[in-house]
Amino acid sequence: MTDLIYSSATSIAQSIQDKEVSAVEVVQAHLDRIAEVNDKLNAVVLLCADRALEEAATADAALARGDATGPLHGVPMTLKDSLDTEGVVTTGGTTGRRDFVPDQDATVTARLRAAGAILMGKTNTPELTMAGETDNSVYGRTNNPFNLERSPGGSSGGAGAIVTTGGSPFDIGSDTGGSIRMPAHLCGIAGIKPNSGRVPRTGHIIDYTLGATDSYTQNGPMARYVEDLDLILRVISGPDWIDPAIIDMPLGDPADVDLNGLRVAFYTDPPGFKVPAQDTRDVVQAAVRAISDVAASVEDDAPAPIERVPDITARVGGGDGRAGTRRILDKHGTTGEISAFLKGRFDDAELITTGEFTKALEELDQYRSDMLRYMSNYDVIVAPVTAAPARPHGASFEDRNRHAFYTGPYNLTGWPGTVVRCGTSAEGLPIGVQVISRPWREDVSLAVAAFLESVLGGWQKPPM
Amino acid sequence: MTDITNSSAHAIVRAIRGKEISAVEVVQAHLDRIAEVNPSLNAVVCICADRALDEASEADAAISRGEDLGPLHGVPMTLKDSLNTEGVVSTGGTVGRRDFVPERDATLVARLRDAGAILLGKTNTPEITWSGETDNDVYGRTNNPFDLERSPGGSSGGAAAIVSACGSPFDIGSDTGGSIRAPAHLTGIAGIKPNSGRVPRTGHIIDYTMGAIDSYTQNGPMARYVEDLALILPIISGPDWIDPAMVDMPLRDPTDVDLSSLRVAFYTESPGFISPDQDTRDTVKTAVRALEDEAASIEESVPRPLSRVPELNDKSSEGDGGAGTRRLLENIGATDISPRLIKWLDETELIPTAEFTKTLEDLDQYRSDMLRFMRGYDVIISPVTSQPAQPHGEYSKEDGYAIYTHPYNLTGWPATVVRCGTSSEGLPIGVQVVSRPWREDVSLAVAAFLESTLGGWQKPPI
Repeated sequence: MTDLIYSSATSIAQSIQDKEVSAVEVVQAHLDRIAEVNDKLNAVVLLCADRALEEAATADAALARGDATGPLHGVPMTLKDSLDTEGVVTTGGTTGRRDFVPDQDATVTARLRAAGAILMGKTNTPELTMAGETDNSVYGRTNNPFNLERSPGGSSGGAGAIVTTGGSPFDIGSDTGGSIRMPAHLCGIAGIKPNSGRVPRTGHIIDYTLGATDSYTQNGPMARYVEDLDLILRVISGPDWIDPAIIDMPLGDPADVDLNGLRVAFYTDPPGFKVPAQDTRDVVQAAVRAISDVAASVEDDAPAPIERVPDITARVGGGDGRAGTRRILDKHGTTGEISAFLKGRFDDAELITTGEFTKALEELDQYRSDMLRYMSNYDVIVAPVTAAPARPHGASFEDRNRHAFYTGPYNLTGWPGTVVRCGTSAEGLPIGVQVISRPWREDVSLAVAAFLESVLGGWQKPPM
Repeated sequence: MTDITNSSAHAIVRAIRGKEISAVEVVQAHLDRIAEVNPSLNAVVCICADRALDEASEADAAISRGEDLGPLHGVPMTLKDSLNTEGVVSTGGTVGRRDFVPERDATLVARLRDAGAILLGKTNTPEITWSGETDNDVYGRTNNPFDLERSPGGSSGGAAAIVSACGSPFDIGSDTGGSIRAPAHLTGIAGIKPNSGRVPRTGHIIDYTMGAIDSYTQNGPMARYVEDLALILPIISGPDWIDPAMVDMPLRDPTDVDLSSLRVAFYTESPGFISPDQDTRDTVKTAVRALEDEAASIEESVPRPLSRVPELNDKSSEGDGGAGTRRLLENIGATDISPRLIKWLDETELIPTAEFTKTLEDLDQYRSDMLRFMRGYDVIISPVTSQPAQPHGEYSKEDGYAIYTHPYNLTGWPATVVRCGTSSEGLPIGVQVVSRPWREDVSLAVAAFLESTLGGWQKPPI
């Protein structure tokens, strides 16, 4: 069964359809693996093993009747604890929801279950998903399987840690500033932040009523293999007639993308951000060398507008003195203490006048326009994800405001970004790269990530 | 060919391609018509007759060489003065730009000219398009061709007046709160506000850097015939890699829409808005009766979230105490700002930043609630404004929302206006046909059906 827990969701689904393995066996193998590693990781913070095994038995019965059509029939999954799961406690990492049991699935949860996926448990998130490490007052800290003294990053750190360890074939993260891409990179798996407007956020703790920052947040799949990102993205995409930002834009097939036609830009030093470690630069260069064998052109060209990102992000996100964040806490009944990371957000916030605030929104539009002009010359951008591989717990807190992660520029544009492992640090830690595509071209981002995975190896099993 | 100025852009391009008429003749006929009616209307505020005739000669030469310049080969047009036109003064109704000659066409202007259209001149707009009537300190007031003592509405009032009076087959308006739809209704023509993200605003005076209210503003065609809206919209649609709000969403063909599958909602009055007069209600009911025989279902159902629109619109547009509008005026080099706009700025109500972000959150909730309503329907039929054309100056005296168009600037959905009736005083009355997100095809198909049944545009007595 060792192979099974390191298989892709795509091949697990196929094995179940081919009756090479039962859904019950698959679910049990993953539950066993979770039991084996989770004490050290604290990645899965709530298990629903009994329900999962019952659903697996039902899935096997359906298959025996010839009544199994979903693309994820019998495939187990974990889900970030910021996503509502009907009948299963969903805290979002905040104490006000310590015992909250949703009576309805989030839209993505419902779609995955309708496609046949089986929920095994919930994965850890910092409070309200608003941190670059995964620690909260409800469940505590999650550790990186490549080195337990280090953080898997955040906010989808529980997802990143358990998927890379073989406890779950996939999870769904959320990404407001890098929360899918950063933990994917730090744990050596793959993850995609889809285009703004692709996947409904209905039933996610950061939903579709975020106002000024609404377009920043996307939900997207995290998995060991890029092929799974494509499979799952298709299942969770499209309007649900509740999240008003979602549009019915056609989603292209990565298999149809012609790599030979692509014009690629890359950079190793994002202007306005902390300078990356040498290992990190080297890995970007390795990815660039791989792609230069197939792409139409490859050019070292960093988009100058991203130097404005730290300032715009601070004003748009914190300009109301975090009144919006306070309203979310109130909505979820968190009245007492909040976690250190979230408190840091309040401490860092600088209230600006309403006139300055609307100016920040106008500058955000101008940033988006300037980025689009840059992107009119390219199909893909290859860039580092963070300044360094996995760091000791707490380092991001000391690091805050030093702009050590490079994902934010594409939350502001709203464009798709896939992360895939492309190398290893001198200390043996995974290093991913970020593959950005033109608006709405997840197919291109995924096709390039799949190519890099095939050349450079992608995910590798952590030493646990 | 005496009626070429009454013709659709469709018919004109067909006639030019068929060599039934030359582009020069078409352009001259429209210039003549402008000369005839414009002293009464003051709709066309800048004429580029020589350039238009030169371009028409070139279009004719191309025809004789067997070349096709595009789907609007030789068709004349006017354009709202808020759109930049290379080599032709573009004031946006503000004194500081009285002599401003852009070096570059707005994106949609370039696209129309590439498609073969010929610019005759610019049409009047209130200062920076910010009013429901068309009057400014550069060019003065525009009059309604159905009654010169009345306003054609705004802000695309010049466009509406000259198109209705046959001085131009079409124009391009802009619509932040109803500025295409209200004047189309008040002058008896057709107009569409496309979905947010459909038509680039690059080179429009209200462009893609409006921040909190950016998604409210769309450019769209105004014409006497719905078929022309369907002809022009695809030409001006799609990303230009400058306006970041544009999406490359497929635009479908209205002729493929099956009317018998449509679920229609309608309302004659709306919570939170000034009640419409009887003629306006009757016209909506007439449109509803016409659709009854065609649609799958039709029911009276008003979206309850509309009652929140006036407050949401006021707070999101003015909650910064007019700071955004002041920056805009400074950026475009405005001077001698009109007393009307200064009064508007002075009356804006500044709210704290935290209340402003709350307003944007409430706007998201409004959009979600509207989407849940629309899940049950394909189309909404409603009034456009509470009355037909009013005497000049009445608009600014209104206390409350008399314009039924704002709710769909806030949602961003497509909305077409088409004339469906006449008031007891003989003034045109249009209805608004709203569709689901990105379904301009459905909105246009229903508007075309109403036009075919109820007559659509009628020639004004000028």
